[in-house]
Amino acid sequence: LSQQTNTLNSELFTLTYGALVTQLCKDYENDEEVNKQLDKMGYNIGVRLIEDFLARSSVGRCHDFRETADVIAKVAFKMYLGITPSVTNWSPAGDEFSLILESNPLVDFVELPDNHSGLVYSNLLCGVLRGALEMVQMAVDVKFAQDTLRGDNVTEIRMKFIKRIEENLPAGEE
Amino acid sequence: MPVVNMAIFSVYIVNKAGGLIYQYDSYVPRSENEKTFSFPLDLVLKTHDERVVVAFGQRDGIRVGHAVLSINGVDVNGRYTSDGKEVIEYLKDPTNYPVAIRFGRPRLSSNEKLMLASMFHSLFAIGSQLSPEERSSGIEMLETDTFKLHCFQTLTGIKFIILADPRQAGIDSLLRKIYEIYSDFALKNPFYSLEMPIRCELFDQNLKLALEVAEKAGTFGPGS
Repeated sequence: LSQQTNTLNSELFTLTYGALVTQLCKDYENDEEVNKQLDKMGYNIGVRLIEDFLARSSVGRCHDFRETADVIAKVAFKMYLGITPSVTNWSPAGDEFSLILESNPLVDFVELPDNHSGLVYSNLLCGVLRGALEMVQMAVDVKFAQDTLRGDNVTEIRMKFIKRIEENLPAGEE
Repeated sequence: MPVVNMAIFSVYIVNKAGGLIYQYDSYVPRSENEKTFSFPLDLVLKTHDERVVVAFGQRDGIRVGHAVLSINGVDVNGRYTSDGKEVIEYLKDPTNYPVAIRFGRPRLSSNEKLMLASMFHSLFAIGSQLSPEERSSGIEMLETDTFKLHCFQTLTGIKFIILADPRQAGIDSLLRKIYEIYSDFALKNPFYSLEMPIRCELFDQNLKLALEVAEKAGTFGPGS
C-alpha cells in the first residue's frame, strides 16, 4: 500500500491558517464569535480527518480514556502536526486530562495584538478533536486552558470526557 | 484469446444508518444471450415484478425466468425499451421481426440494491448478538457456492462490502485500501457531504484501479 507523503511547506500552512483567522476576524469583528467559527470549522475537519486517521494508522478501538489520550498525543498529533504533546494533569476520576504543547505549528511567527485578547487563535484544534472523537462515539469537551499567545508559559489543551454516544452504535460495540 | 478474470464482482458501501451510499458492479454475467428471432416468437413472455420475463420455453441457453435485457441493441428498463416501446406489445407485431433480443438473469434494480444493503446492515448486527463471547464483531464473511461476501466495518460505523469469487485472495487488504480511497477522494472533497451517496469521479477511478490491482495480484484461477 503506497502512502503519499505530502511535503506541504509548513510556512504555507502557517500563512494559510493565519489568513483564515484574520479573515474571520474581519467578517465577525468579535473574538467570541471567531472562536465559535474556528471550533465549527475544526469540527467539520475532525469528522472527516478521523477516517483518514483510522485508515492510515492501525489503531484499534481504545478501551478507556487513558488509551484515547495516548493515541491522540503520540499518534494523531505526531501524524498531523509533527509534534508530540505530553499527557498530564489527570482528574481523580480519570475523565479529564491536559495536553501540554511545547510548540504549535499553527502559531509560528504569530503575536496577538491587544485588541484581540479574547481570541483563541488555535481554536480550530479543539473542534477537530471534538469532531473526530464524536465519530468514534465519544462526546468530549475540549478547550484551551493556557495559551502562550495570550501570555501563559505553556499551551495547554484540556479534554474532558462527557459521555459515550449511544445512538447509532456500530454493531459489536454494545 | 485472453480470459478476463472478473473475480471481484461488486462493491457496496453502507453508511452508519444503513443507507447504501455507493455501489459498483464489475461482473459480466455469463448467462446472457442475444439471439435473432423470427415471427412468431417461440418463447412465452410475461410481466413479472415490473419486468418482462420468459414464462415458458427454453432454447440456446435462454431459460425460464430470464428477463428481456435489450431489443435490437436498445436497453430495456422494466417493461419498456429506453426509447419508449412497450416490450410485449412490440413483440406481438409481426412487422417488427426479425428482431434481436438479449435475454439474461434479471439484474438487481437500484431500489432492490438499496433494500438489500439495508437488510444486510440489520443482519450484520446479528453476528455480535449471537456471539457466545462478550464482544464480537458483526458478520465478516458470508459464503455461498458462487461468491463470498466480505464485510469490513470501521470504528465509525461505515461498512465496506465486497462480493468476490470464493477463490479470490487479498480481499481484506483491498477492503482497507478502499477505506483509504474513501478517506481521500470522498472525504477530502469538501463538496461531498458525509453519509450521502458518493458521486465523485476521482473516487470511482481510484476504486476501479484498486480492484484491477487486487484481481491481478490475488486470483487463484484455473491452471494455477
